Amino acid sequence: MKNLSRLFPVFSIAFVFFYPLADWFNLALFKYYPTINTFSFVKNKAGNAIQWYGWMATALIFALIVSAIYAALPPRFSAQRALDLAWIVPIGMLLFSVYIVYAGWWAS
Amino acid sequence: MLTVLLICHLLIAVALLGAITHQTLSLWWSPAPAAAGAGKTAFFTNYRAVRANVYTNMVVILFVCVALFGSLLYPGYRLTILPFMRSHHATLWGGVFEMKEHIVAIGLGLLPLYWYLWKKVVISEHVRIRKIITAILAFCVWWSFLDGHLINNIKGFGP
Repeated sequence: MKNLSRLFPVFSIAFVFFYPLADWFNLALFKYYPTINTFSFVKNKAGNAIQWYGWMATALIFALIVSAIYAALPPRFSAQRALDLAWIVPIGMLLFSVYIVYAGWWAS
Repeated sequence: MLTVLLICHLLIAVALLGAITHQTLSLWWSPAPAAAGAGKTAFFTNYRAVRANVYTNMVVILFVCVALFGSLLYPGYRLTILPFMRSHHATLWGGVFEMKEHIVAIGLGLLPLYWYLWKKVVISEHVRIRKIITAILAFCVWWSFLDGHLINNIKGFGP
């Protein structure tokens, strides 16, 4: 558990980094179609797809990959020294999310 | 059923709001040790005079529960409220709710880091990043709470 918990900061930062990108680049792992109550990995004609779950799943997979890579690195590549700068990513990605919403809803 | 889910979502969100606000205020604006015990009637001083680290696990559990309830409610929103807003050209409010989706996802992603900073790092180390991540999480909770209420009541004040 001690070794696993050292991956938490890397996982968090990777998830927060990849989630808005999954939205921006339309990389939902799957979509949910509420009208027919179906999850689908391929495009469906049912319309009104929810991608939010799929974006989180995509970000989760990328975050797990990044965490696994970090876990495989030798201990001298520790992210502890960069921990104090970790706040930059969530704040930057919150601002990017505002831009995504602006571009999708408010600019038109 | 949706109404029951919505009420549960709201009640858990209120508990989360209280926990994260206590923790954030005690971290950013902790009272002097003498002030905490002296004024028993000083509401705000006592509100901030809490042991901030005891809230951590509960904040994580409540955040996950609120997000889970919210994700169960989300299809209902997409099938009823969102078409209403689109038909009334309420793009402002549609965008405001989409911000909530992003903020909740980012908050969920931050939970492991938040937990790590409170539970695995010595309390005297990485103080600044702990304060900032806790504040970001508090912002996520407050935004989501107010956003949800605005959308829930949107028919009351119009698009």
